[in-house]
Amino acid sequence: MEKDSKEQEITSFLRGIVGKDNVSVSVFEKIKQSVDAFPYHVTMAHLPYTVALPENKEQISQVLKYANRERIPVFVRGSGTQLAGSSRPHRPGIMINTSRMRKYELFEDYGYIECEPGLHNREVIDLLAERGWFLPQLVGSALIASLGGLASNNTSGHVIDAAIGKVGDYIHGVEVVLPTGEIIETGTKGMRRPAGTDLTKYFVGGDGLLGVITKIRYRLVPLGKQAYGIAIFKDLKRIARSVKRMYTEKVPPPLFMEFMDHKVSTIAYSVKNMEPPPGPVIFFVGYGEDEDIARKKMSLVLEVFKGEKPVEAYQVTDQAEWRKLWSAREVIAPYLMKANEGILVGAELVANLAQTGMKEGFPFGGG
Amino acid sequence: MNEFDEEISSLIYEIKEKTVKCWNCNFCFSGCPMFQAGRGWWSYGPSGLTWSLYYGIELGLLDKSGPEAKELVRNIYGCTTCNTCTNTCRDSSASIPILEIIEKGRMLLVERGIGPMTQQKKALESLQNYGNPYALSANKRLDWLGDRGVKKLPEQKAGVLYFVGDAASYEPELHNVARSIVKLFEFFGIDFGILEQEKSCGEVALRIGDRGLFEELSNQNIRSFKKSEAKTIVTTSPHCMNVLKKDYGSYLQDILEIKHYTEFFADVLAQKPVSFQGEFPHSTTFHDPCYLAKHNDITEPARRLLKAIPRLSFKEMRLSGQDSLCCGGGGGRIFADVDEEHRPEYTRLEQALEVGAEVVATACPWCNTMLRTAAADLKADDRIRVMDVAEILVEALGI
Repeated sequence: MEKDSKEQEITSFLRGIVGKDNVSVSVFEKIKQSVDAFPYHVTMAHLPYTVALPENKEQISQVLKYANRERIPVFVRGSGTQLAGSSRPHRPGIMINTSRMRKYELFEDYGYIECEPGLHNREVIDLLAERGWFLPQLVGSALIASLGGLASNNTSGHVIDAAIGKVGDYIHGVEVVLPTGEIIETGTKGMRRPAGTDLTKYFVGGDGLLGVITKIRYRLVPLGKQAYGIAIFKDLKRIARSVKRMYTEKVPPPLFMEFMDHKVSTIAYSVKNMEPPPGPVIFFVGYGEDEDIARKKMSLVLEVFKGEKPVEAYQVTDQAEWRKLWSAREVIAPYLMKANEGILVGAELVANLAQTGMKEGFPFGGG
Repeated sequence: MNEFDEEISSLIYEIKEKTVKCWNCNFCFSGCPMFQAGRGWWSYGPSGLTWSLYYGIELGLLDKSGPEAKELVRNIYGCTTCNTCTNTCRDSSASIPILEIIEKGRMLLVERGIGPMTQQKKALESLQNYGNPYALSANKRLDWLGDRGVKKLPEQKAGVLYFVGDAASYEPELHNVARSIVKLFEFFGIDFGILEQEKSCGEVALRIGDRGLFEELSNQNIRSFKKSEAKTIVTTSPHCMNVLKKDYGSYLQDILEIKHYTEFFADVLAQKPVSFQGEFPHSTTFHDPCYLAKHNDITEPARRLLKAIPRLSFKEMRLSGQDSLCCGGGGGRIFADVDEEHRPEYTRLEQALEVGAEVVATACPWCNTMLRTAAADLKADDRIRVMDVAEILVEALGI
């Protein structure tokens, strides 16, 4: 009963701030806003009092001022694709979802794009690519993951830090609503980052603990070309030695690199109806200003890998073949979770498999 | 346990069993027209619906009088059944049969007496009483034909049975689509006929969740199909084609070939090149009907037909083929007024305008209606015309 009256009071206040159509007390909405991939089920005792879809920073500021005054926990969420439970509320509070904040402004003359947090990774990759720009961020959940969540995690996804750095290196400023409701803007609109302390870094990778990101400014990076390679080895040690060689022999690191041990690759290939590979597999993407440079970088990796005597190592030139191979890697997480009582135990897939005690072969039936 | 309870238990079991395998990755929201049309609520989109059904059952919220049940009906019947979510999950995630769960949810809501939406109930009543969802007399079903003489099956016999469907038979704006298809049969010298007493294919009943009514209607049609001795059924609507292929039972496919008219005429044209005596010098784009592209992976026949037309300049929209955006008319939504912020048909028409098309072609009566309404509502009907591929062919052939 106490929760009900609190819910009514909060909801009524929020309606006044974000509009009645943008506030929900639906149990279905509360549930969907309280789950992510870990673990499967909702904890009913943690459901938010109410869910709000603010449209701008001013509304968020008012919500935070109110919540701060009334000591009500606030949880902020985008698309809920985080794998470690950080987009789940862990006690009742106000859930703010950024799904209505989806505007962007492209300043090509000044070399940056400003995006609101509710835009999705893939749509910004595509809209920039149409104009010859590159967003250095490609997460496995790119289809739907929100930029706000990704910035809060400072995750580049499959993009290898050693090749081009973290996405945070390309974020030149953010607009943030602090827990007090104060709105600040950090960083620079220039092409170069400020020297010394840059407040941007407290929020990018800050896990959303220090404020609500309402705008992200990315430096524009010219879109390069990619060349794809794959190597299949007899055992994992050879893959480990190959990667070590890549660094010690000073080969430029690839833009993306992912590997699957034999058990994982067997499952992944089977899901995509492909003949399972004869051993563990490693994929990589050479990246450069033009096709020759991209191919050259990919070939350098390929050559160094050949030193560890792979069963097969070759360039993939057919886009459709590459998409199929890559998608096999991309879909594997849910299948591994199913084998592991619904839990993804770590960031790397192979670590998950070690927990399952899974035998060789494909235990899940058809994909 | 009586049969009714068994049916409900089985639906509940299947909904829960299939939903629980979803890991909430939310990839299914990425191409969902319903989520895009909504305000940004996550219960108003694919896995939002499946988990709402799951917890609706778990928490005992499917009570006829409860506000949660009303909300669930509004959400579950907001789905256009375009299948984008299921395809996305198949390609990028855990292969959950999302649409199947949603449709089982609709059956459950109907069985419980909670669903469907009020206007959809009227369509179901009309299907029961008149054999069509428009509450119009069965005698008016052939009005579109005028005094044109065509064979009437099953008394007369023909190799091809043209299944006209409800929309092209009863919607005056769509009569020309059916007449155009008849002209194409005649032009290509095909031995064809229509059913003297065609009934609705029942797709609307099935999509809305009334399986019993669907079976009544389909059984009547199956009897007529068998009597007709036709070897091929050609449909106006992708919805009819889909339901005849997938839900009328495999034995129908054993005795008959079932094709959408774009597939049929693309094959005919490939074997029998023609000279186009008419004119169609317009920039044209093609809107893929979901029940062709997303349910049956049929994307090329309509394009082959359009691209065969001299001086027709073909423009592809940003979202096309399997990645196309639904018009919002499927899943029984055409019979309901769904209150949404960004209507899918508006978004789709805007995408056609974006590529500078003078004509947006489609090959589904409902897409046609949805897009025409959008063009009128957006006051764009002086800039873009919505036409069926069959109408365009007739104009280009000069017949």
